[in-house]
Amino acid sequence: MKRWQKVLSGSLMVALAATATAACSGSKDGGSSGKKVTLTLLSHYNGTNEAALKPYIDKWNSENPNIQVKMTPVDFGELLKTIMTKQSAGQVADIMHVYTLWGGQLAKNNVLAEAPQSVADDVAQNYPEAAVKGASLNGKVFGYPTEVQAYGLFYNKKLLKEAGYDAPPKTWDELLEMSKKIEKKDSSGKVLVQGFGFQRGYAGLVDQPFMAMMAAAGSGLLSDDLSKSNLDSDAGRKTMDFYSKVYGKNGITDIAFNTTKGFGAGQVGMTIGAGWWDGSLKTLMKDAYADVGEAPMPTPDGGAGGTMAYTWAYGVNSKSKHQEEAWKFLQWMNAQADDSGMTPEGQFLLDTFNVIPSRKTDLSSAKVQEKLQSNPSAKLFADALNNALDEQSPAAGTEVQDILYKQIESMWTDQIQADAALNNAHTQINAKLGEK
Amino acid sequence: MRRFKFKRETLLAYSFLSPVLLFYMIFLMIPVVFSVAISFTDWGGFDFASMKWVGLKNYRAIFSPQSSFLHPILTNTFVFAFGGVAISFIAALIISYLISRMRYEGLWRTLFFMPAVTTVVAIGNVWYYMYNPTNGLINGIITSLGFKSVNFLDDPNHALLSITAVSGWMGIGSAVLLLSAGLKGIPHDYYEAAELEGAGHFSQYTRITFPLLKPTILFVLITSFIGGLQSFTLTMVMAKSGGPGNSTNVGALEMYNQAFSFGNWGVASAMAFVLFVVIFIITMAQLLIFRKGGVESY
Repeated sequence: MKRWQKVLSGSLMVALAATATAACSGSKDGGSSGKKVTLTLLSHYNGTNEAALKPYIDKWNSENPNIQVKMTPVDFGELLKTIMTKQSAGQVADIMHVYTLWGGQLAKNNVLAEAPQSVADDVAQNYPEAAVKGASLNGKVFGYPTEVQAYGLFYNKKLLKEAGYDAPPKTWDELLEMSKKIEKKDSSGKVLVQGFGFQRGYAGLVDQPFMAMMAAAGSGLLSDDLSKSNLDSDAGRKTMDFYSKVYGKNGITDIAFNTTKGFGAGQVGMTIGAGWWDGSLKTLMKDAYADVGEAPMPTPDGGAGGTMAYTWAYGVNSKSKHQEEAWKFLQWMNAQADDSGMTPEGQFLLDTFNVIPSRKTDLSSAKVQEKLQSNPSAKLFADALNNALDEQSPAAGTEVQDILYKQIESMWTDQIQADAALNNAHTQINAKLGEK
Repeated sequence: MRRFKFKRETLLAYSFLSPVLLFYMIFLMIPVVFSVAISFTDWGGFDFASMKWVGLKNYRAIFSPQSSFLHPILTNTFVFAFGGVAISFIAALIISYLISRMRYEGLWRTLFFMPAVTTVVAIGNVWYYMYNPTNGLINGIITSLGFKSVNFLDDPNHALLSITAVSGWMGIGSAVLLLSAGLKGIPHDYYEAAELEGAGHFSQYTRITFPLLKPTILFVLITSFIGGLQSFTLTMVMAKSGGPGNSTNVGALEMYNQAFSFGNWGVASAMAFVLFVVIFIITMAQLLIFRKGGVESY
């Protein structure tokens, strides 16, 4: 570290002195094997999710008195900020559960350790490609993929039937045509039933369906080496063109209508969503949930297409003094099956979120197989992972998504045309990728 | 002997002040100096060892024609701050004058002050629902009168003004409180003398009330402008990341996103420093204008 950096960091350390005394978390218990070690696990599993995860942690702690794991839950919105502040204050968490879009940012700042070869091999052999890529930085596996969520089409069977359709659309043109027939407005132009709408609110909610549609049209948002935008590709142009036909002056519906709430209230014909949403809709809609249907992403020409999957993953802090112990715990949590054939993580995902685990050994367990047969939605999203592209995570991943989001929103609110939105996003993303 | 006594007294004074000085040192001076220093670096916010000196690169980036910081972000910040202050100040000037002449003055003052003691998040959410184009109260009234509903927060032509109006409404209470206190400080004899001389209400207001209220007005304007230029919570609650597009994005919100979402602490700190300079210039300009108008007490 250079002298000026030392002065700066020293100054800040004075300000953080009160908290720094509590630093190093569990690391003070000693390091080498044989001595008791307490590992801290930082995740966004708080509240009921924390309670659901606790029995697995308690089981590990009772079976491994020398390697104790202590959960440190924070809200999702605070997770990246907490990692940042803890890391710079020296209060490093040994194990972190991270959203892999942050991967590039974390890699650039050397936050995550590279996984041992045994873990890397296990991940490469036992998870779908999108999950492996999601849990990798610069081509090297950094941890175990956990929640891997693919995107698909959600539709309301009742509204489709009322408009004369028995099956969901297979092409984008069909989707637009069907949505026009489903859409109902009152005399003042207020939307009563929305044919098709995109969910809005924040970058991920708008961009992830965009990436899923681009994948359905045959391309990822960025090049494989993450050095440039693919928005100028045929898939990029077709996707932006489709987006321009949904909201705005020439759109099929009104941007002011809340698609997320509307779908739950049975007022939306179709939208794009990730697999986990099915569980939320089931709880929210109760009996009306019977009207909910799910289908693979429609494609421009109706052929077989892909989708996009985002990933969460467990990793180990590069500054942890107990990396070996941390990996031992993660291997137990993610790779060691019990008598039922499922790993603790697999059971946690299935029981807590109704999410089909992506690990092959979990998938082949009797419990998951039974779930797949009895729940078509679970099977659809589990199968979708086989054709899914990963959510790419360059160092400027969140900025790239912010750029795309703002251009799409500007287009939807008639501030710019589709061509300008595409060109602006393409140019700005390329410039941003070039900087990092 | 006297000199020694003076030194002891000084030492004692500083020892009494030391907790406060230490507090300001730790929580104000060090962070300010640190953030100015960060503005000349590339830092992701995680590890001090990864800090890289980049000179003026961050400043060049935010002033480049491709950057959205000057326009629309800084422009929005000015519209938001000036608009909010204009609404709250003019309304407060009228309200404080009226309630100082009404019965139950304390009750009225309390009612107007209530938004100031309510959390910004709660206010933002209430207005967010009131602005809702499909089932919001305001659009309910508009459509019941036979007009088309307005997309207050989804239309870039209305979004910033809609949030600015809420900010102005929120600021009325504290401005009323300060201006009422200022009004109470004006001796009643002046009004009696003016009345005897035949001055009407308007003359009394322009010749007595307004000139004598200038120091309070200056204080209200300066603190409101600074608050408006630094505000970001209301925008974050009502427009999330400053959308649609960048149409409601303001300086403080952009800094927050640059630092905590994108890990661009250098750029965020450079923006913070630029905003500090802007606030400083505006505050100095206000002081100068009021000094020329006869206010000497600030």
